[in-house]
Amino acid sequence: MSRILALAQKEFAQIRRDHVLSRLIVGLPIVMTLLFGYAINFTLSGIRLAVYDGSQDRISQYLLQELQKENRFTLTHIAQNPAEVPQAIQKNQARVGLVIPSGALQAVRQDKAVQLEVFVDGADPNFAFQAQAALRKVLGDVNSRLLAGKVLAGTATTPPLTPSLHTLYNPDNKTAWFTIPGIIGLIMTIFTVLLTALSIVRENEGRTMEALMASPIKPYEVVLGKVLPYFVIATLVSLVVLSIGHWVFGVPLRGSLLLLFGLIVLFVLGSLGVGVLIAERTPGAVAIDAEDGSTWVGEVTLDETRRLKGRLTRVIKDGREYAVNATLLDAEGTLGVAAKVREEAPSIAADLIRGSLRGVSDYVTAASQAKTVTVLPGGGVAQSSQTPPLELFMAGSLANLFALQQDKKAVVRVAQADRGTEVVILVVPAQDSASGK
Amino acid sequence: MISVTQISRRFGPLVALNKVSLEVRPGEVFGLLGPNGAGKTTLIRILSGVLLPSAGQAQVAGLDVTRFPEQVKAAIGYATQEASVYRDLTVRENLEFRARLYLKAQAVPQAVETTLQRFGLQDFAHRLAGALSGGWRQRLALAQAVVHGPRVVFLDEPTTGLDPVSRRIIWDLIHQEAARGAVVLVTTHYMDEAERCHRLALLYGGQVVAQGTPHELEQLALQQARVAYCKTDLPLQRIRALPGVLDAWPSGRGVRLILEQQASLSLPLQTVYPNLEDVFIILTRRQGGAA
Repeated sequence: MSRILALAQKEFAQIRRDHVLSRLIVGLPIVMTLLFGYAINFTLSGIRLAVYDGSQDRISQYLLQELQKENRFTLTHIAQNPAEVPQAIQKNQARVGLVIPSGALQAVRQDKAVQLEVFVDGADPNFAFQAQAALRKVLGDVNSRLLAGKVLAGTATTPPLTPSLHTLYNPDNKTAWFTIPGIIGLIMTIFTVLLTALSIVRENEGRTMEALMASPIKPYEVVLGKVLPYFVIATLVSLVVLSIGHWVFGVPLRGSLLLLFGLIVLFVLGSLGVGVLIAERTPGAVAIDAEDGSTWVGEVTLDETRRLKGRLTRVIKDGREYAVNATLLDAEGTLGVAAKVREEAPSIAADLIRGSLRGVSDYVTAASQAKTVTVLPGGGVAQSSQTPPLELFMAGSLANLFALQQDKKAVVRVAQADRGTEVVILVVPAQDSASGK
Repeated sequence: MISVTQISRRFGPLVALNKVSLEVRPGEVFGLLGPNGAGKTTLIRILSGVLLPSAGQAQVAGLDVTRFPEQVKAAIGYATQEASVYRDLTVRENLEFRARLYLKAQAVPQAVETTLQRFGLQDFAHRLAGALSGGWRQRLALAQAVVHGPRVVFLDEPTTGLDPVSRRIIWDLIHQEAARGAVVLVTTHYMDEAERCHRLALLYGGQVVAQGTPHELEQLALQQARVAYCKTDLPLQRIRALPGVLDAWPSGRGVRLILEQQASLSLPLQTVYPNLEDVFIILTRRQGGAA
């Protein structure tokens, strides 16, 4: 027993001293809890709704009004014809679509049923259930209001508004269709981030990193070299998972396999961290607020002397935008601004993780905003519009919390000028210089 | 080939190196001798471009280490304190990996082959490095530090933890590298081993206490103190307390003494020639007294 405790105690001490591990162990559950508690709200509100209103009468107006009450639904797209409604979901402009046929008012007056076409994004079964329930409730309310008048008149018996439900993408709400793609995302993240980080940690522990550092290999080459095997393995593993999902669980694969493969690769690359790829001389965007209230926009690059050289191309003043050609001087009048450059091996693992998480979140943002994807290595054009599954969104939000702030991007080499550093903007050729911060 | 001028390095409040200067010439095995924590490893890390100095200048293979760390790294070979070999790779894989970091792909097989031969590792080429004995693994560490034929070789405690026979072999190999024309900088805290270096620097508390050939250092020490052997039954504490005795410790059936030049003791003294351990103690004592 004492031997077990001794080992456990040693393990505790090691976890405590391993910054990456301890952060993950303590941080992840807390963030997950907060995420589930606040961010991931299964009581949906403000569901994005696309509507084709063929009636344009009191009934349809009333229905739309009721739908938007208590922020249940938000009208994000008004379609010009019924076919546009499922397309809007396809394009991710909305997650629920509603087609109101023409002549709703007459139908209600003549005591006929109004057949509403309802489309629900079924990529996330949980969402689909919730959205359907919310819609049914509103319809029920509207129906009872409409009926109330009629019942008094002693005429009506059938509920006037009857929905005809279409669950898109996953009509039978099969869980596997939804979880398998999510699992692929999970595997990719674990493989690429954790395993790569661990392999770097192992290199540190074996003291072989020291010898690597003394060789001509550059830090980013170390990271990329370490990442490459995991990238290949993760891609293969995700294809295996995809195959199992397809042949064992019947997850349908519609559309271009090549595109899917391309997206998997893209996701892995994203996971591996946009930051990793930000090499030394890649320009970064910069915006500077000058004292006179104008904002100067341009690019900065890091030069060999570890100064940030800036070229400003636009200035926005009083709501107007002017094209300029200006350069950045520091308070002493020297070209460029001294930057703090960090390039430390011990933090590579941590930075890698943070950078990768940034990548995940960027990917998710991109994916959730993507309307059509036209990436095909072969030159072909493909269309896709799959909303990223919930897991991905979670990974994305999670990543955002862990990731570096936007203004501090980069992993291997971080160049940073403090906020509030005095700079002088020299505008060429006009002799106008403005001091800003 | 290695030229260090007034190099200092601080880690926060700790001064790891304080204005260290030294010069190492091609074909020379230069020893950095000092106790643990004297700054040997820090100096090697600065010279190999891994660590930036806080102040001072250093040139390795004709290149300034602070301005051209990448080129310096390409010109050197480096073996770390703990065998810097991958235990889960074979001997050949280790050498190949190392060689590929420095050399063009077509030059790699040739470099690996000649290195295997030079270090007598052919028979172990397919053995996992982790399965080698300490001496052989250290031999591999040395081999992979020089597989690319560097002009400057840094060896950080290459013989720590090895038996005398293995140490002897490692030192033969080190001299073999110097004979090839390389500059070899070796750190060690084994005093006896330092005698195998062409020249030495005694590093103590981040400072170079003395620098020269082993013989020069012995002469330097002899100017400051005298070493004697005394066959006596007196307890060590008593002897240490005697006037003129700088240090004393048991040696065989008697006591080895470091004495002030003019000290006269009523003991049957037998003057002996100082070994490097005596030299080290004499020179660092003086340093401690002066500071």
